[in-house]
Amino acid sequence: MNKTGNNTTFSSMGRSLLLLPLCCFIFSFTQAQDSTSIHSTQELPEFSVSEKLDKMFSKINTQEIDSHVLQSNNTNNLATLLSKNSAVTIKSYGVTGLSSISMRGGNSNHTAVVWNGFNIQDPLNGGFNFASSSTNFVDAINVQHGGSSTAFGSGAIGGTIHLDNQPIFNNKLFGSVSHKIGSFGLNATTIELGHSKQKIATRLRFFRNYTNNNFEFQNNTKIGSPTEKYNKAKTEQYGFLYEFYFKPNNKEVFSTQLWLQDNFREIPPSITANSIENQNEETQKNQWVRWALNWNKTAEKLDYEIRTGVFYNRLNYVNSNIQLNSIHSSLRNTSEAMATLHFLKKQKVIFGVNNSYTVGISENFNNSPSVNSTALYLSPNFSIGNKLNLITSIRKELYKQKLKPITYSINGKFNLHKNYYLTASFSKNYRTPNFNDLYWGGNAAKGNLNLEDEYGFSKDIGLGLKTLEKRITLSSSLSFYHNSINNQIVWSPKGQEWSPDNVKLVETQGVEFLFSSKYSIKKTLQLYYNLTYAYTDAMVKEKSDNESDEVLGKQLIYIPYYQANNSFGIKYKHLSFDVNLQYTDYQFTRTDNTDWITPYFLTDIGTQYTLKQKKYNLLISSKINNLFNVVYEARQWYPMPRMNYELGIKLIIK
Amino acid sequence: MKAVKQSILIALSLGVASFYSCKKAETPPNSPVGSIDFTNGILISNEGAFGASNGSISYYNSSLDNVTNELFKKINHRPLGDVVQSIKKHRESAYICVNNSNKVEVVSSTSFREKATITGINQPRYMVANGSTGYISSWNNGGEVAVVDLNTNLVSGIITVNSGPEKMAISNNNLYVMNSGGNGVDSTISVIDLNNNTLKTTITLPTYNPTAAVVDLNNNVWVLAKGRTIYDANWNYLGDDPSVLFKINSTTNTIESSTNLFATQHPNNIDISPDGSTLYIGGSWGFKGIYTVNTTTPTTPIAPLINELCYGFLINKDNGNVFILQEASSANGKLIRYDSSGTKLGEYTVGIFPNGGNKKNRK
Repeated sequence: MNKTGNNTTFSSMGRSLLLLPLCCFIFSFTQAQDSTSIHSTQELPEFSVSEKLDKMFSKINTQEIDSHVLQSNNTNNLATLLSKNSAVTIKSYGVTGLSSISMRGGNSNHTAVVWNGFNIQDPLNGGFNFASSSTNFVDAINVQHGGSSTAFGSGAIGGTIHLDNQPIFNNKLFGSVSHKIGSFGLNATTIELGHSKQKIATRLRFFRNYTNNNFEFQNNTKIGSPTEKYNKAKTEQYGFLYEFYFKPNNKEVFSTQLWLQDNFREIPPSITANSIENQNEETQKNQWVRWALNWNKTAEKLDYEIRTGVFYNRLNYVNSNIQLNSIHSSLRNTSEAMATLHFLKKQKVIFGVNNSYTVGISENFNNSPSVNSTALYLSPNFSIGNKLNLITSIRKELYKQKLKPITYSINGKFNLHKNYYLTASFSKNYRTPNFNDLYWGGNAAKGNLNLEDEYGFSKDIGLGLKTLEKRITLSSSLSFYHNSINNQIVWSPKGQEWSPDNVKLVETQGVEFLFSSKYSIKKTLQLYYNLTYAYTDAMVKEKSDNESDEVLGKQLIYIPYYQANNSFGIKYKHLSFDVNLQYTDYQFTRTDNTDWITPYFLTDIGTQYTLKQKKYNLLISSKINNLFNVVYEARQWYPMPRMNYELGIKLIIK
Repeated sequence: MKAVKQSILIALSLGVASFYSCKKAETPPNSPVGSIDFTNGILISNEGAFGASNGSISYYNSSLDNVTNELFKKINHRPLGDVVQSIKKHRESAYICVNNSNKVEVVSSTSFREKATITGINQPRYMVANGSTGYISSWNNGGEVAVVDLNTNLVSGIITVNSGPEKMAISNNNLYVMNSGGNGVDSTISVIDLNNNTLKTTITLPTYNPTAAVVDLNNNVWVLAKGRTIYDANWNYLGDDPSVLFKINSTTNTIESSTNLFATQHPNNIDISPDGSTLYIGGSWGFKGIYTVNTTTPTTPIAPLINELCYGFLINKDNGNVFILQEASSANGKLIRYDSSGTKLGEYTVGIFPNGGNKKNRK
């Protein structure tokens, strides 16, 4: 890895470049504001299967991914979507590899992933592979920063990703079929069919994504830097989502969702390996069944949400190099009842109970261990005039018949002006050890039943603004935060066996800046511009005995100090054009920070034309990813594709 | 519209503030390698963190009493690979087995410049050489020894052995392959006839998992069988089979003596003093101490010569000094030098997970 003295300059330049579109946008706005105004096409908020986030936190410190962005990433996975449109860090293990998330310097099991109110993190390792989940199976994504989401349970120390489905009650039959082809064997199909009447709505979605990923790269790790090609980096995914909603009256909805998915991926080795083109078989097959049943009722005084769900996850890892073929499964039932009591006009208190029963099944577990946990939570929300909104929550959990310490959060939002507000929050949260930490058994590694919870404190302050005018909608927020994660679990050798212990302390501080805007110049001409930016300083303050002192005070690996995303779009009549810029700063690859991958700046452009007919719309889209053919790695020695294209067509039946 | 203007200005201010309120990323220093004299020193293999392809070679320069790290990368401007299991100097070359990258890098033993990459060997572990033929143990297909023509650096044959072959020793024109069981259990030593590179016989030991061997001045092969920890089907601990030292007669290929070492500890490595009188035993995850056993009257060691944790170790055949190698998880490890009486001589930083190094075999 070569490093020049110009890196800091490049880093600053990268940041300045990111600011440029923002300045351009402001300039264009000031120039155009006297033109004829139009009526804004304000969209009505839709109902989500779970309203827990909205009710409990009023979406403070939360970034809602724009519906336009969701639509344009329809066949992308969530890892791609979030890495290009949010301030989270996606840690990717190469082009087909696992993509885990890091929020505010935490690791993947410090970010809760919630689907329609259910936590769907893998109970065995606490992680969630964002590369396995397709964007077209969710209708709304909210990125909640910080540990204040206490009520979502163990694990939400760094933040929470909320994936929600939203019913469509439009009294008609609707559907769509889309097909996308692209470089490296990309072949993606989606089918959607929905029908609704006044009281019933059903929707069925299917997708298949296939990619060969057989792209070429220059292998600088070999003598003579030969050009090589990945031969076994295929991914194939099938997904099926069925939703049924019954609305007996305007205040009540029964619903059920069934999500089946099959993910297969070949795992290419690091390019330092000899046999890239004729590698041994290393594959992973991940299958899941997620079924949920919900009842929501709203009333003047009391709202209810009651839900239960069953979640089965199976992972089959095969590595012929080491003659390994292992299967690890988990089965979880989660049930929850939540009520919201409204009183004194704007005051409310939310209380609920959540039970979760999980069984782990693996040849590396002694029998099939299970964990039962029940939590009670209470969240009084107070509004004082129009100025102050105070949201508090406490949670107490009975976990494996032992009471956990109370966790709590307090969030405040103070409206300085109708458009500007201040926020502040403080919370304590924890993460219970996952099944592998507790129960793993193997020849050289063994879990530790005496592990304690990791716990963390999170505090942040912020300033935000939200403006809604006829031609322009604009929102922005700036947050400064400090997080600590104590008792972090680290696996290290004990005698001649590896086992986990609570030894590490990580402290993180940083800045998050979000900006989003839409501007209608004319009825037929709209612009939008979004920017997310994060600065993350995540350091190890305490370590395990066997770790080198050199790791103390060092930035965590694969957490860039700086990262930013810009997206700019213009829509004229039925034609739209988008540009997305993504900057990722240096990422250290060694815990002592003596090696790193260089920053990269990626540019994607896309265009879409909509042919509107009375009974159907036809969308034709094209996209060029990595427009400037940047050579980069998101994981050291795992090259990423250079310039590549996508072409898509979608038929929407109205 | 005034409010919108204000909002935009405030948003812009927030953005600029957030961009420039952060500290600048520190950029790590580059330390170029200078001119190195490889004639008088020890090459140390550092596995690196598994999966991170940051294995490396460190060089202890006896004349200057210092260590140069990242030798391969600094000289050849490319990474070495994932899990550098071992390095073996032979004639004008050094052979580096990069286990998880499925390759053996060949470099000049005088300049350390790259010469070739031996391919076609999955999971290479260790190498020994006999003239212009190299023998590389590999966990491919359970257990193999690849025969390599060192003139062409091509694999010329494969000898199937038992499971998880590790270190090897040559004596009396026989190659002794320690079948360690890999991730499982084995009790055998494959004996290969170097006249025709075929399996001559298999010695079965009355214990488990032979991992390392050395040859003394009388051509006896001293074998360390590390034993094992016993679990039931549900990974409950049941007990241990002890680690045992065996003396193999390389003429008859029979066990001449056995000495119990440790009841519940399972060291990986054995080495021998330059005069062949003392065996040194130690090295493994969490194994503490270097223990000595006399080759004339081997007995169970009681107290360690050096009471240090060591992941790997080796004996400098020039002077009998002991090189203790300590891992420090995913950061750089340590080399601690001791003389043969156990007096500490110096401490140095080496690469991640240092496990062993180049040493001259007795034969």
